[in-house]
Amino acid sequence: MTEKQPAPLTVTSSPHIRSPETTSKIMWTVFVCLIPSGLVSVYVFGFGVLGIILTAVFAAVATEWACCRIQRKTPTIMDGSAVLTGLLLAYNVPPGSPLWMVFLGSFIAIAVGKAVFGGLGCNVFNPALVGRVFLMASFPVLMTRWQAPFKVDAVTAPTPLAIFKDGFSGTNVLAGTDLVQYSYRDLFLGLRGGCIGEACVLALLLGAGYLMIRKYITWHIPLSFIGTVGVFTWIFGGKGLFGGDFLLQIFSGGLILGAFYMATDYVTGPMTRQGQILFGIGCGIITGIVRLWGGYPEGVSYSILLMNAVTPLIDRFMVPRRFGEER
Amino acid sequence: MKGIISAILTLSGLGFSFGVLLAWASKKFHVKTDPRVEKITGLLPGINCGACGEAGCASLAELIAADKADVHVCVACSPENRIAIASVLGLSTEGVGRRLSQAAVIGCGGGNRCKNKFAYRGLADCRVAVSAMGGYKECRFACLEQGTCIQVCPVGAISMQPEGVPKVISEKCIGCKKCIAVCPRRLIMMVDRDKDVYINCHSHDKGALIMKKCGVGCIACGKCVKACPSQAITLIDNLAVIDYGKCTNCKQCVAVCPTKTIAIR
Amino acid sequence: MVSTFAGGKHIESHKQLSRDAAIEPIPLPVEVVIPLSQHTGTICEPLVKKGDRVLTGTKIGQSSNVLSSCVHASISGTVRGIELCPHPVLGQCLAVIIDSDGRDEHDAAIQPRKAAERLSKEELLAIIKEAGIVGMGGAAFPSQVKLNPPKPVDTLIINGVECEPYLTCDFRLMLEKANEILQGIGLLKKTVNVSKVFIGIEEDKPEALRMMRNKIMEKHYPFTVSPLTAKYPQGAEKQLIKAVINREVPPGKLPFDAGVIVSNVGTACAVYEAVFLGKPLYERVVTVTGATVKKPANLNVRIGTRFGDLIRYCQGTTGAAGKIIMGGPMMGLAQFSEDVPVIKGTSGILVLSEAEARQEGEHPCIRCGRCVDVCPMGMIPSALSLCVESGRLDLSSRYNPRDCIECGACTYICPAKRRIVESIRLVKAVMK
Repeated sequence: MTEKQPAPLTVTSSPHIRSPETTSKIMWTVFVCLIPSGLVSVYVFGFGVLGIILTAVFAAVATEWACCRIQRKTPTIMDGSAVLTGLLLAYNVPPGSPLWMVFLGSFIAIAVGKAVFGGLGCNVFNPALVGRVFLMASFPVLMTRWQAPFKVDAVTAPTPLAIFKDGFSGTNVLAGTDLVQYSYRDLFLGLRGGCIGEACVLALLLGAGYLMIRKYITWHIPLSFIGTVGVFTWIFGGKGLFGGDFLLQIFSGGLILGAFYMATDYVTGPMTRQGQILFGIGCGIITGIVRLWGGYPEGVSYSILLMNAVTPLIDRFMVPRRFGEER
Repeated sequence: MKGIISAILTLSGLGFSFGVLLAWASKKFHVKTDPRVEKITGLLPGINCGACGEAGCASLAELIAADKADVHVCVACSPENRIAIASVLGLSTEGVGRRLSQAAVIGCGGGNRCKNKFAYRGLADCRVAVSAMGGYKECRFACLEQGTCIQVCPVGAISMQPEGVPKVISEKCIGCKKCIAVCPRRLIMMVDRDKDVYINCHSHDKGALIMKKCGVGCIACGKCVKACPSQAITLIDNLAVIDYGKCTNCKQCVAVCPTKTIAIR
Repeated sequence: MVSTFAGGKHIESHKQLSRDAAIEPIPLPVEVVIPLSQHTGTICEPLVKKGDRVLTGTKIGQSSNVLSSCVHASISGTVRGIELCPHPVLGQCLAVIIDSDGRDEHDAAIQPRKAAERLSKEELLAIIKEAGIVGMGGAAFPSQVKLNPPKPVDTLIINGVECEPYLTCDFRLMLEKANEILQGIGLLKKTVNVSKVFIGIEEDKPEALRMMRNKIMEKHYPFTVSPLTAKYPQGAEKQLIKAVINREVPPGKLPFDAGVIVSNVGTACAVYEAVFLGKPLYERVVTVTGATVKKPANLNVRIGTRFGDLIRYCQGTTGAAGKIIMGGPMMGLAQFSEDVPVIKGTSGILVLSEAEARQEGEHPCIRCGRCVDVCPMGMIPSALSLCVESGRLDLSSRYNPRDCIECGACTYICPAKRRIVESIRLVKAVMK
């Protein structure tokens, strides 16, 4: 045995190489993919939107920092998850929202939606949606005061879905406003009332396309979600069966934002492919039911939250096939 | 007014009928339990350590009540509570209250004085650390310092010393032997509570090697063997071993050990 | 048609570092350290003592136990001693140290065997046992045990996949010793008495595919070459069987339960040499590679040569080595010293720089499901990692930890850099 000692070598168990993907890289990439939609929103609804976005992000990061300090964890701000939650919350409030409300929503999203469960990876519900639903329940008036496109002086205008609901359920409160004022092109490009981030379908799809190319999200949840909403509203959303305007349903409201960016949240969604398809279908059915027969014109956030609650059950039963076991 | 009355009547009616239903159900589905089981469960330590081999204190209580297990099966139970259990069962309390004899000691004083063979960067668990090339310590008998024994101790009786090795606090140790089961180096032994000395080393390496590796291990010099007035210490394969049956706890061996390997707990 | 299995992941191969370097012999080492345990199974009893003179190929250790494999001197010289020495797998092991006399005199028993084609199954097994042949892919399972399965099998699959990144020794072997390998496969076929023989090779090695096909055509061997998707872990036994003949080995069972024996190309070559040339297993091809190694190479090395000697033969490294790995980066074992010797299962020596060896800390699991996607065994690796993290080992058994082949794909892919395989190893160790 020779006695020379070289510089101590590192000994770890295999594997000795790791893929370049990291949690923070994924989070920041999703963040960047959401930016185009925000830019369109600033263009359509004015610079007030930028203030809302910055407030939400700042509040989320500050809350995350404070929670980590209180729970004596190493701060997890740089992993981008809090920033992303803040941004998604901002995208889920109307353009004219007061900043204090946005701040409160972000605080609830991180503190109640995430930190109390144990931080990143442990939360059951999508934090941004927890924040949004909290705001919806607490400030229903502020949360449904929609701003008409290109009207900086905050002229309120109902969203396409509200108009549809009004006609579908026969309440006729909004008589006089007509769905015809929105063409599919307007809906697709985002020239309509709605939450900050949900407006421009084109911008959202651009980002989602990039995420798919990078394989950060797969088609399973978005396609099954949107497909189910489309089929459901086509069957039940018209006068009689099979006459619904499913393109209106797909392009309006928060469906695209929700299906591509919030239902696909890793932490709160199922892990297996079969589970994800089931999750998407469940989301789609609940969204359809809420939109057609529920109390609110929009149901995406509730559907995702409800399915989040079912996720552990889905993960329990939709397990991958064990290698070598009979089918 | 009429509305109020009908509401009161409806709710009272509902309440009454549910009450009847529940009363019937509790009679119908009543499971007979031994009232002593509950008392015994309350007297057992309630830490569910598993040392008795049962799933928890409640299942041991059932066995004790059914006379299928002895009171002494629970090593963690205090003498007073053991007497109390015996009286619950109507048994003689004679001898039941004797103090149970053993507490764990960890026999390695290496820690950060023992040299490292390489930089271990794995999971903080001794059972994993030992599988990496047989452990990262120069000494193949040394404590691996990851503190798995600390994690499994149900009463928090083991703590990490500044020297990098864990130590058992005898007063807290309940003798459940969980730490013994997880230690991959088999360094932990049970020693009678009335004996304070133990050999703080498990190495069978030769003295010269020990001095090179840590300097605090047993070098098998034999001084303790000579010093012991009751011939309780022998050298087995380069390691001093105390026969606790003969040991009188005089502590003369501690004074003569040149490497301070014989420790007092 | 290119076939594969479910799960897995294509991993940057880094094989270009050494794939064009022809196998070269290295000068005789001045001393060799031959561990008495180089295989799965019982350690050998030494047959020599200090001061004995041994010749190349002299048997120096054997065991009476069935699951064992004898060891041979790899150089001629004098036994300096039998001591505990560093070992690349066990950490420490009793080993015979031989000082070379520089003459490399071969043992008289090493003679080309005449009429090798007419040997019976039993005679072949005896030769394989005496030659100390083990699986050369890395696990080093004694070949005479593997080739004598307790139930009849119908298929032999030859593993030329080499799915581990960096390693190229099997690839070079297939290019340079195709004839020997094919004759060896013929012997293996006879030994296990099967009708079907497949040779699995990943399609990112077109030269090897072409070489094997051409030689088979030339000599009319009854073997089939199966091109496979280049994906990790294609070379794992169960995944290889699935890809080549679409059979699945049931959980907890061995390949012969599915009627298959899998053998490595290196083993086939060693069997050829043992049977036709009478040469025991005292040398093997080792890939020495890594971005920091100045001249990566495929070397024909005597068993017992120290790792450091090989790295120095490859002109050393640029900068300090952070990690020395025996085998590939996915399943290889990190070494604590350059003094460990090459053993029968050493397919490669991979040197990583300090920067490459640095590992990030663990982050919380974000349940992204990547590990579930890549797991070739259909497990939920993240769940086991969480069981360990939360100290709930009691929950782990429902996630089938024993199925894990420890390929490391889940840990490689994990964006939170969790040490999943390590956790599963802990679970397995505790369950034992």
